Amino acid sequence: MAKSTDPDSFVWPAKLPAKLDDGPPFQTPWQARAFGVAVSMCQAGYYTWDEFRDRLIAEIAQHPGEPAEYYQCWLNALEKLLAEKGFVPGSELNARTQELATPKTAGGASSASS
Amino acid sequence: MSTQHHNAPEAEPALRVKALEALLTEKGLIDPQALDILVDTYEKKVGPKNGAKVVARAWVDPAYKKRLLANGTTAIAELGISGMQGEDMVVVENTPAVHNLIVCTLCSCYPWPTLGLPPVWYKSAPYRSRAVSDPRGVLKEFGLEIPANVEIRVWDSSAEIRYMVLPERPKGTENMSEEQLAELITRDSMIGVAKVTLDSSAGSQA
Repeated sequence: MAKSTDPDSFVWPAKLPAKLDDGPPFQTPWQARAFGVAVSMCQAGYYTWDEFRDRLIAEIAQHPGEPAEYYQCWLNALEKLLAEKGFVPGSELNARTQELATPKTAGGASSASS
Repeated sequence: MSTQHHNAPEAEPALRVKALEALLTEKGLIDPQALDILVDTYEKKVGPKNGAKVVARAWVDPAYKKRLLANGTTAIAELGISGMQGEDMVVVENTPAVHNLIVCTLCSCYPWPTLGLPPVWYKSAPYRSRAVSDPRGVLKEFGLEIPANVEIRVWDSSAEIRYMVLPERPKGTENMSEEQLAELITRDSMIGVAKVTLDSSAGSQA
């Protein structure tokens, strides 16, 4: 996926390019998963879309440097909402992220990340 | 930051999403397989072809068009199209006197069931701010010159409502079937940054 041009580092020109290449809806697999988690939790009724949208708007307002940061905003909004609702406290998420970042040694099923 | 040696270190957000997904799965709040299907659906299946069907029907069936403009949500559902971000649809009609443009100034609201997920530029700060302050200039950058005597209406999808543009049917299509017409209708024409022309082809846009 990551080649010479890192989609996450793309910066908008001040002027809107007329025929900017759209590309696929998601530029990296994690963006698609973050999208899916937010939609799926809403569809299951754990929160309303408005609740998610309010947090997304707040994140976007703080990070005008889109679109590189768009899905980062999306993820931040999702994390905050899930923490506020008590589904996944921030500390729990941080701990699990840390765990995943640390490669397992001998014997452990080394992360077969797809 | 990362101390992995063998593989390229996975990006922080990728790890966080992975962790989130794992925790939610363990708690029984999401089903990873259902998530696969959901993502695949939005990535590949839901798209502007749905909106094109709606527009083509409106072009050939005046009674349908009337229903569509009166109540977008139910008229679109008649064609079996509905879902998240399409619960409260308003369809706005382009005419020789009025050109419509849709935007979400605050984030990225967009009628998913009819148009799929928004293009990257739709979510960009320049488009979100300038579509409102300088719609004519934005359209010009998209290659669309709107004459001064045509009113431009900008619809900000920031409430519950999601908008979609009903573009004008181009001249020279009088003998075309509904299916042939649908092939001409592009996503951009339903956002309002393009017109439908005889050589615009829906196939060239994802």
